Amino acid sequence: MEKLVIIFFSVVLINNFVLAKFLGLCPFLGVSKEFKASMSMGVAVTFVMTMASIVTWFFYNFFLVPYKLEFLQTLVFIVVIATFVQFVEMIIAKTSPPLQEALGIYLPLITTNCAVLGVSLLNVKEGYNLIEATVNGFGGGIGFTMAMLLMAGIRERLELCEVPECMKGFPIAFIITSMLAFSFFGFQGFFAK
Amino acid sequence: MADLKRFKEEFVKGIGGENPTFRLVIGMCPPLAISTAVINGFGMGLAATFVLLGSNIMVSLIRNFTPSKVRLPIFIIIISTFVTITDLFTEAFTPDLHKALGIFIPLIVVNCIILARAEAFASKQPLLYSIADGLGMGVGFTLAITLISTIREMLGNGTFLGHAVFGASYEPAIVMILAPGAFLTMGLLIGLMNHLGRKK
Amino acid sequence: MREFLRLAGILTLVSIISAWALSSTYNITKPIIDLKRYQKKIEALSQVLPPFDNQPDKEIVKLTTEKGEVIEFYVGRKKGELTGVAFKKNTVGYGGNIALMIGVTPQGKIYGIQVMEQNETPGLGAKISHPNFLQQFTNKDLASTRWEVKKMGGDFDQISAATVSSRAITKGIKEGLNFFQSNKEKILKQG
Repeated sequence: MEKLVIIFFSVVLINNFVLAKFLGLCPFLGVSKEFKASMSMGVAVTFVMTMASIVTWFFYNFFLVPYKLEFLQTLVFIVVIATFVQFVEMIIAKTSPPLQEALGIYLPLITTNCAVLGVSLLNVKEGYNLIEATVNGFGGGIGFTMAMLLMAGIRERLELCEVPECMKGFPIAFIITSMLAFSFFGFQGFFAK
Repeated sequence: MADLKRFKEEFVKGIGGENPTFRLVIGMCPPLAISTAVINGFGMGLAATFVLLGSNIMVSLIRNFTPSKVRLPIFIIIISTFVTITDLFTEAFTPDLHKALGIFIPLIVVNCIILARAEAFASKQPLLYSIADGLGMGVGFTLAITLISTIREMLGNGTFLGHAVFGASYEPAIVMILAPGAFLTMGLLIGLMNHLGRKK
Repeated sequence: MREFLRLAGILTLVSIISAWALSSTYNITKPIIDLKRYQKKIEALSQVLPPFDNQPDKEIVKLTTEKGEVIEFYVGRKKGELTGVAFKKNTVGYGGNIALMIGVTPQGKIYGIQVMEQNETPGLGAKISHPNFLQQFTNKDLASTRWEVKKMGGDFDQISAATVSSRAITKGIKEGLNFFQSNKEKILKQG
């Protein structure tokens, strides 16, 4: 139990997927201009990351390992993730049009989000069991969402500021991210005794 | 010859005007994560270029036989094949680089640059220009990541390719090889590129 | 239906070609990768064990701690006589887990330490991997040394601005030695 708590807080605060691990940057930069959009994206990503952790764990431990096909993990994982996202899209389209409205365009984008494939690969690397992998995936998504929401809050305010022409858009976004990353540094050493 | 001129155009755009890192701002994860040392950044650039080139070539070769409905799964299978080949070869022949790049080698498969070029260019253009495009984008990416690595390694570690540059009394600005330094360098560089671009 | 079969057929064809390319590459590179991994392991063992002429990675004594962890002791011999054992020990540092390889003589003295994995701050805590820091642990045992950093009243130098990392290493080695000492008979007899 203690290990699960450590994994969760570690991946949300100390080893935040966006601010420390550099994963999931494209959607982070693209969508964090608006608070509402960031929330939708964050929820979608958290859901996919959690489910992907579970599904890829099963594929790895019940298919790749017994048949000594570990070298195929990249191929199998990405195909599994892409299929899963497609599947989820179809279900949402049939069961809940309002949900599809809200999440619509973000869902297919998540397939190429490095955070999703990243967490699956990390679960294998760390040798997590099913519960640990799920917590890692869920925490990763929460951390990603948190970073996005913080960023969105700042960027919405930034609209009202004077930014030099050459810095508008991505440059200033990166510099703000660097300050966010800096402040998250304060969480390091959280578990040191 | 029109062919050669066009080839040159498609190649050069990836390095300058449509540089994936500084202009298109796609595939940003590796330039930030791997740029702590020039040797790592350069290695990453080469690996990504190899996959990009291989993928562009294959996608362009089979573009007339690829049904539109299943093109994305086919691209993904092709790209992950090249990525796995790169992963295995680096583990066998350059184990230190393989360890330094870690999960970012398999993550090349979701690098937006490669999928974007396959979808937007290689699936519609003949082989020769797809090669030019892949090479240009790859070289542009490698140059960008090497530039960032140079800045971060020199300021954050006082070295270039592992050799001390500023002498023993230089106190490295460690923040540069940590996460905040990566974002800061990237932001300032893109701002600089924008400024230079506007001057013209 | 025909459309579906055609699409499925093309996907299958692509997958088969991909699978062929990958298994060929795998078969070529696997022996090289296995060899490199083996060499790396032997190199790590050579750094922490007294000179040996056997194969320590093949002579292993396995013990279970109270927490249920299995620790493997690699036995080094010269001319048949046991010269030292090496084992992995995990400890928690500033940035997470640190994996140590500790080499001990039968008398319970440290012969060598290697840091196998760490996540400490580059330029600061990461210096724990340097021989400069690690060599101060050589020849120390439980009885004759105070196992803490000098700042906290012990005998070991800490890295400036990296006290937490330094203490983590010291603590990890001490715990490892404790475990070795309490199970010394079992290890040396079985080994």
